[in-house]
Amino acid sequence: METLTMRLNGEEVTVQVEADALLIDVLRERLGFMGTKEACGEGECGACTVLLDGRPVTSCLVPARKAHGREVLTVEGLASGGELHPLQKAFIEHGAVQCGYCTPGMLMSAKALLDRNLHPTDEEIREAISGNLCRCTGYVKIVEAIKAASAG
Amino acid sequence: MRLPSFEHLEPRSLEEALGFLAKHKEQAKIIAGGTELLVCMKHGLLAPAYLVNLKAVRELDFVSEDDGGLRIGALTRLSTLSETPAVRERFPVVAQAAEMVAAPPLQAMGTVAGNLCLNTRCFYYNQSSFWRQARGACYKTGGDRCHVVKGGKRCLATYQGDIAPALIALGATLRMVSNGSEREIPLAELYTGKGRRPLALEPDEIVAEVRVPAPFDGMAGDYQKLRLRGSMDFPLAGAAAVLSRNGSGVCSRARVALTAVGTGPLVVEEATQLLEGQQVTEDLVAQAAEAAYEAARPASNVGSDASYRRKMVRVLTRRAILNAWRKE
Ligand SMILES: Cc1cc2nc3c(=O)[nH]c(=O)nc-3n(C[C@H](O)[C@H](O)[C@H](O)COP(=O)(O)OP(=O)(O)OC[C@H]3O[C@@H](n4cnc5c(N)ncnc54)[C@H](O)[C@@H]3O)c2cc1C
Ligand code: FES
Ligand code: FES
Repeated sequence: METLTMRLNGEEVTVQVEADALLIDVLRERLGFMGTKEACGEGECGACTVLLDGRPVTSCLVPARKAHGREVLTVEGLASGGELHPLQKAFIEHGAVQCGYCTPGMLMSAKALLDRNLHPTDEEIREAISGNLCRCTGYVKIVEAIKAASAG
Repeated sequence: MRLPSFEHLEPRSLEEALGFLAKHKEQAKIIAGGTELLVCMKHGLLAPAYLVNLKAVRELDFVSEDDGGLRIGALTRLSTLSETPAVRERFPVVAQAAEMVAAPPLQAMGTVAGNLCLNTRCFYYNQSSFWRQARGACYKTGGDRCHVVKGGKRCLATYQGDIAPALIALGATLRMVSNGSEREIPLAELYTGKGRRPLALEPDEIVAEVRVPAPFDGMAGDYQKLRLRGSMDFPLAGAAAVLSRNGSGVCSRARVALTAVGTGPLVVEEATQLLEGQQVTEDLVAQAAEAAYEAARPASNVGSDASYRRKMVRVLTRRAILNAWRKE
């Protein structure tokens, strides 16, 4: 067992993890943060995307220990004070969610983009979510939602 | 999906990392970004007893300018590489290739050395152990046959790294270190051309850095990639061209390298011979592209059919050369 201390959604968390534990399993199974989804488990689909020090990473391929001493943001950390994040509101308003399985990952990729670029072009939005697959909504509404949540 | 169990080693320095490798040899595997290695482990293709994680070896994480050239530490993330001003401005073809690797999360995790040291890939290899078990072992998994070419005598698994061709065309070298020794080799020599064991890398050796020589006068480059989905996919064929133009409009240096159409990256020597010392015309470019087509040896083991990919080599090479020539 190894010690993992990270700032998870703004709060310091310490857990004991196995050497071979992956970040997604620690988040979901050890810490109960079920927002992050696992689909392919191979880096292909982006469902498991979280932010590590502000950068989107596919948590199914991140050894948990890699988050040690770093900042992790999951979809649960987006809303604050009982208010949804503007991206979450925009996804609802623009119908950018159907089954919702891809949504947490989409939101995290979008958040990483808007944190660095408040005025993304459609092309930049598409590039930012190019690692996130959606099987049901399609991408048009998702791009529209991200655009709406940006500063234009 | 679960990983086979292993012991996780976290050296704090290059020296300590080399010590671990020297001690555990074949039993150990280096992990950098983990984006390739962990997928292979989940598929049961590899089960190293020790993972030597380079993440805390800060001395391998740098990009610096040196005598007009570039030194790229092994641990440099692909996203860092493409965002570094010296790379973007002076060696844009490298940034261009790095931005075409997978998608943003994988670029934020994947490293330069991990990319260069990618294993070769094949439909019949990059699968779960459950899937593979139905067909039995092939050359790549220790068996005595090739599932792609019936009666094939050797492993044809494909090298699909995106940044090697651009770096090879720029004349890059690698600094490789092991316990007590060090060597510098042209990047092209990292690749054995063997599908089964594609890298000339000893088990106790670490790629420490990539060195790119100073740009030649009037130099420009371009990388063209074929993939199924524009958003994210390994290349099905890729062509990088780096050309220099002298004061009188003649091509003074030309290098063309391919990826994903053979067991290793491929240097198209004929293109160099055709283009150097000449005014670059559409006709000459077509001849160089034809030479690339002739040199390419894709197998039908990744993404799409080999003959289509081979024909696309002609198209991609033509575009890459023309773009490089026009950029300058
Ligand atoms: C869905 C998906 C899509 C992808 N698409 C592409 C693509 O389009 N193009 C592409 O090129 N790649 C692609 N990749 C592969 C991979 O993400 C990148 O190539 C990445 O740069 C690999 O780097 P890494 O640091 O994650 O490698 P790791 O997985 O950490 O390592 C890869 C290999 O290199 C060895 N290694 C790492 N560092 C060193 C070192 N310093 N010295 C010696 N050996 C070392 C490791 O032991 C291992 O064998 C994709 C991967 C996934 C999962
Ligand atoms: S579950 Fe991680 S990328 Fe698909
Ligand atoms: S909403 Fe169902 S996968 Fe995107």
